[in-house]
Amino acid sequence: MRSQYLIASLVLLAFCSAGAVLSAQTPKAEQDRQKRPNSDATIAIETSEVLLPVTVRDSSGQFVQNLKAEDFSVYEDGVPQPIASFALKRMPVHVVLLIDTSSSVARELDDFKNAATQFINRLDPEDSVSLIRFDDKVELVQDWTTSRNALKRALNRLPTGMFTKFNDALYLAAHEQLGKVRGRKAIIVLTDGIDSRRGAVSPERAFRTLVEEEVPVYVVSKTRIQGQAERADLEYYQKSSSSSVNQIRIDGIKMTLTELDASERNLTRIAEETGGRIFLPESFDDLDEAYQQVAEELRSQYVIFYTPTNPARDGSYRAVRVKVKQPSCHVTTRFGYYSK
Amino acid sequence: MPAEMPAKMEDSLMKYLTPLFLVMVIILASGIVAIAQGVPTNGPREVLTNESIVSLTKANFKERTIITLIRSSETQFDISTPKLVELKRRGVSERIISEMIERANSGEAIRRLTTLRDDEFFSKDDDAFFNGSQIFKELPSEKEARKREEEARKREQDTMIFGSKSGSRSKTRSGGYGPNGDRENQSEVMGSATVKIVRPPGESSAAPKLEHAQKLDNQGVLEMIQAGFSEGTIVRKIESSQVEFDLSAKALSSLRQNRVSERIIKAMTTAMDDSK
Repeated sequence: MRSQYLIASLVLLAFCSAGAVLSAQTPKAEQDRQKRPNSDATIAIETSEVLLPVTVRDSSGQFVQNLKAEDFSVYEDGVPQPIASFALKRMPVHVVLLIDTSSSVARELDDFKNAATQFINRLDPEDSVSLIRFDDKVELVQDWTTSRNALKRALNRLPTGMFTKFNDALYLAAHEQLGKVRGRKAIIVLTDGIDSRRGAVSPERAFRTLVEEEVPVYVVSKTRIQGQAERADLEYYQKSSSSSVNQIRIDGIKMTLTELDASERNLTRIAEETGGRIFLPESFDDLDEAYQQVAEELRSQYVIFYTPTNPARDGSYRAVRVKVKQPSCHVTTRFGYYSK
Repeated sequence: MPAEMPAKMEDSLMKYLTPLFLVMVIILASGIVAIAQGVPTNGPREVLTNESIVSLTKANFKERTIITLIRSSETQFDISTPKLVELKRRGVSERIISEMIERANSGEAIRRLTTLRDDEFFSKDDDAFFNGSQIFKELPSEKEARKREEEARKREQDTMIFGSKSGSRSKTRSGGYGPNGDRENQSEVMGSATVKIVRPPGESSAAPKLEHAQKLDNQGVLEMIQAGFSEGTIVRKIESSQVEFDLSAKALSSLRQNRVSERIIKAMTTAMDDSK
């Protein structure tokens, strides 16, 4: 009887020990995630180092590629930070290609597809790409792949929808598709940026998620192209008869132009504050050039790692600044991040 | 109206009727544009789904009526292979299914909402009434967009091997009258309206969802064949879907053993052709 109790106690102790060991091996972040109730907060990925993609250009706009770690200074909330490691562009990048397939761009979709195909061809072979389209829904058309053929095939068969869930697309690209990715990542989006307001995510939430997930966004914006077309139509109607139908159209076009201006400002903010860039081609012929510049920038970036001197992981926003010794150089990186 | 009417009286009648008709059409056009711009209508607009189509079919609506509805309505069709097979088994005709595939893969309906150009109400000969009016003249941006569309269509037709495209055209009626009441034959005049459907801002309570595109594979093609779909419909589905076919020798042999036609196999091969 006593031996049975002893065996049962040993078995129970063994189970408890196994559970403790397994629990200890689960990353802290995973434990935190399991404890945290479902919320709108972005998934936290534990890291002690901050990764900063940095682009350096000279006064003529050319990429500067011969700098060393000692040429850089990193500041967080104004405090100098020691650089842990440094690399020039040799880290593969995970790129989400977001393509607007709503009706507002349906007529130009072929131009967009061609430009995107050229962009894919210009990436390094080790770079992974996934393709997400957005209109009435946000759909992962091609998951992570280095196969350029698979991407081209996916691009060639994009259907078009009606409305535009732009904010949902940004959120899902950053949160779902890039949230688990460590290392360099980027979103390249081709759009006019006007959301149809039928989605679940607000612009503010989409923007915050981009910052939380530390994803630079490169925007190829259609706003200038569309604005030109709208202005041509506006001029036409203004010279036409002053019928009530014409006036309705004139008012509608003015409303569209106002929306395009607001969208361009929003897209610019998204691009600049996440450490990306916005391209504003004036015609469809310039799309290819815009994508070429994005690919070139991704190839020419420095990657700086540093361990923040402020050890607190309290979710607060930390403003980041990077300088180089050469005063004529212009440095681009994201404005900050949320510590977690 | 009496069988014989003095010519003068007929001319006078046309002189009064022509501007009256013009005014009525303008009012109607304004109404269409206003409604499309978000003026409240009588109740919510229905979104056509697969179930809607099945219901319409079972209610014995004509194919043409259902197709017209598909082209002019907001739709949310599931055109995955299993759903297409289900539609067929529930009695929906292939012609309607083809239209659903076409509709799901294009933004045609929104262009029909936003332009009066293809609206079937305004026939080609009706445009004679608006001779001199600026309403239905082609805009500079539309002219450029039309050119681009025509170029793209031409490129597509040059490379298309199988399948067919369905489209809609305005009915043409014989006879037309100019503003002076004279019979005229006018060249096609087009118009458009800028439409913005605006909703109040704010987040919905539903969580956003990243959907995953379903890729048509060998098994999907076999299912469509077994369900009795015609070659044309299957080829159209192949042409419009994201695909991931296994075209190894073994897989091709298996397809042929399952009576997959060479036409379909060729469409599958073309779809996987990476140089396109």
